[in-house]
Amino acid sequence: MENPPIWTPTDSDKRATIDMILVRQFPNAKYRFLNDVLVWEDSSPQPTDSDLQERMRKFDSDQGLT
Amino acid sequence: MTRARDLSKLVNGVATTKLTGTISSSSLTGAIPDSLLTGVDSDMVQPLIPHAYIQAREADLETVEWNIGNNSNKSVDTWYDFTTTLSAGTWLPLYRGYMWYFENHGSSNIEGAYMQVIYLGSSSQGEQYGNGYTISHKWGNASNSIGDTTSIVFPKFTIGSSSTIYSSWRVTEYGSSSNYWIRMSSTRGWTFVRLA
Repeated sequence: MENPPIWTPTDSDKRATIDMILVRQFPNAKYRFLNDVLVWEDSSPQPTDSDLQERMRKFDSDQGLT
Repeated sequence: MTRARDLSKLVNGVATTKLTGTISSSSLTGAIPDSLLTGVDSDMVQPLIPHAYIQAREADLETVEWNIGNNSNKSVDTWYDFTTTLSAGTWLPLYRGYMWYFENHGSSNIEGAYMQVIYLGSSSQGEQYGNGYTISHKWGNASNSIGDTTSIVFPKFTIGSSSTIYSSWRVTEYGSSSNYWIRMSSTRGWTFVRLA
């Protein structure tokens, strides 16, 4: 029997993306991705790109991913 | 006397022991005149299609490949929508998804389930051309991600003119909220085979 499809992510594979930040820190936000581009679906205030980048940096730091 | 009675007479006159063995191919040369095939059931006389002809037809088969993954870190409970364009015709959609799930925690127990949804339609997040759902157990730890391969044949569909095709996928997480990321491989996705 073949081994099950298991793969071990490296630290680089664990780095945050905007997708990961949004689902964790903005659980009530309305959005989707169209052809890999973020599309907001409501008019409420959204986090800025720089805010998201800072949150990604902090996420990686908290995970020990320098 | 009819040809059938001639044949009957011939066979009845030959002992079955004489019918064993192999007929030499040298005895089978030459063509059977069409006149001798009159009255033969057409099911017994099939045209021979050269293998090269079949291979040539396969080479002519038009397919369109469309990947809807890029192997980057994505999230559960999020819609990922994609669009492409197909020319007019009748198409058979084949879906091959390769999803990876990663849970960065110490437990090695199964902690719930993932449901992967795939839509194919003529409008945003539409499923006019079909849908598919697969369930995977929710398992993993800080060392291992697991892969899931899903293949689905969707019904054929016809478009009268060049059209935008929409496909969406989403993974819903049931049980503990411990998913770290999901990834859709870029090496698989949709294949559309032209039928007409």
